[in-house]
Amino acid sequence: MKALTIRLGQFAICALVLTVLFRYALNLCIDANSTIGTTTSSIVYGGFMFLIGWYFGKKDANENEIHDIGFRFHLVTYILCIGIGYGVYHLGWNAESLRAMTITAISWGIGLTIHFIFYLIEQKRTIKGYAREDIFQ
Amino acid sequence: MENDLIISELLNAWEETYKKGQLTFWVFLSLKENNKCVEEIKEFVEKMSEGSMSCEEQSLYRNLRKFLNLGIVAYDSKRVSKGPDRKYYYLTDMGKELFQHFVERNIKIFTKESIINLLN
Repeated sequence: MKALTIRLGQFAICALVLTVLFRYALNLCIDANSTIGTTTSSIVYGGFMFLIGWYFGKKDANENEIHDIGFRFHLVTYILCIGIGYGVYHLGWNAESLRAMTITAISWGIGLTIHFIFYLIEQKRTIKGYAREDIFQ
Repeated sequence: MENDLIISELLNAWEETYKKGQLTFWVFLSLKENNKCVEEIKEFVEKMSEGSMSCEEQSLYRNLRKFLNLGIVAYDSKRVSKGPDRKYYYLTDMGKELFQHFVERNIKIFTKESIINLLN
C-alpha cells in the first residue's frame, strides 16, 4: 500500500499553513484578552480543517481507494497540530501552557491509538490496503 | 408487449450486476495478448466484447493503478513524439498466475460441451 499519497501531502501542507496561522491568531487574541477573537479563530480553524480534510480525503479515496478508515489523515493532523503547538510554544507564542498542551497530546493520543486499533482490525478485511470487495469492481 | 418491456428491464438490471466484475477479466485478457497502453486496452475491450463492455479511460487508470500497487500489473514507459511518455502495461508473473487460476475456475466451465449444448 502506498501510504504517502499526493492528496495526503496537499492536505498536510494546507493543515500546516492553517495551524501556524491559527496559533499566531490565538496568541494575539489571548494577549489582547479577546474572548470573541479566541472563539472565532478556533471555530474558523476547526471549520477549515474539517473542510480540507473532507476535500482531500474524498479526492484521495476516489483516486487511491486505500481502505484505512481515515487513519493516515488523522495521524498527519495529530503530528502537525501537536508538533506545531509545541514548536510555537518554544518560539515564545505561549498561548497555551505546556501542561494544557501535554494533556491535549495525551488525550488526543489515546483517541488516535483507539483509531489505530480499529484501523488494524479493518486491515484484516483488506489485501495490501485495498478492501477485498473493491479490488475487482 | 408488456412482457417485452419487463424482459428488457430485467435484462438491463441483470447485465448491470453481471458486468460489474467483468472489466478486470477483459483488461487481463487484453494484456495477455500483448503490452498495451490505456487507449489500446479500451479499444480491445470494446472491440472484443462486441460493444457489450464499455469503459471510461479514467476508470481504467484507477483500476490499473490499483493493480500496479498490488503487483498484478507493471508497465514500461515508451517515448512518444508529442506529450509525456506513454505507459505500456503488462501482466506480471503473479498477474498471469492469477488470471490463469481465474479462467480455470470460472471461464473454462463454459467451454464444456454439455454447457455449450445448453447455451445453443
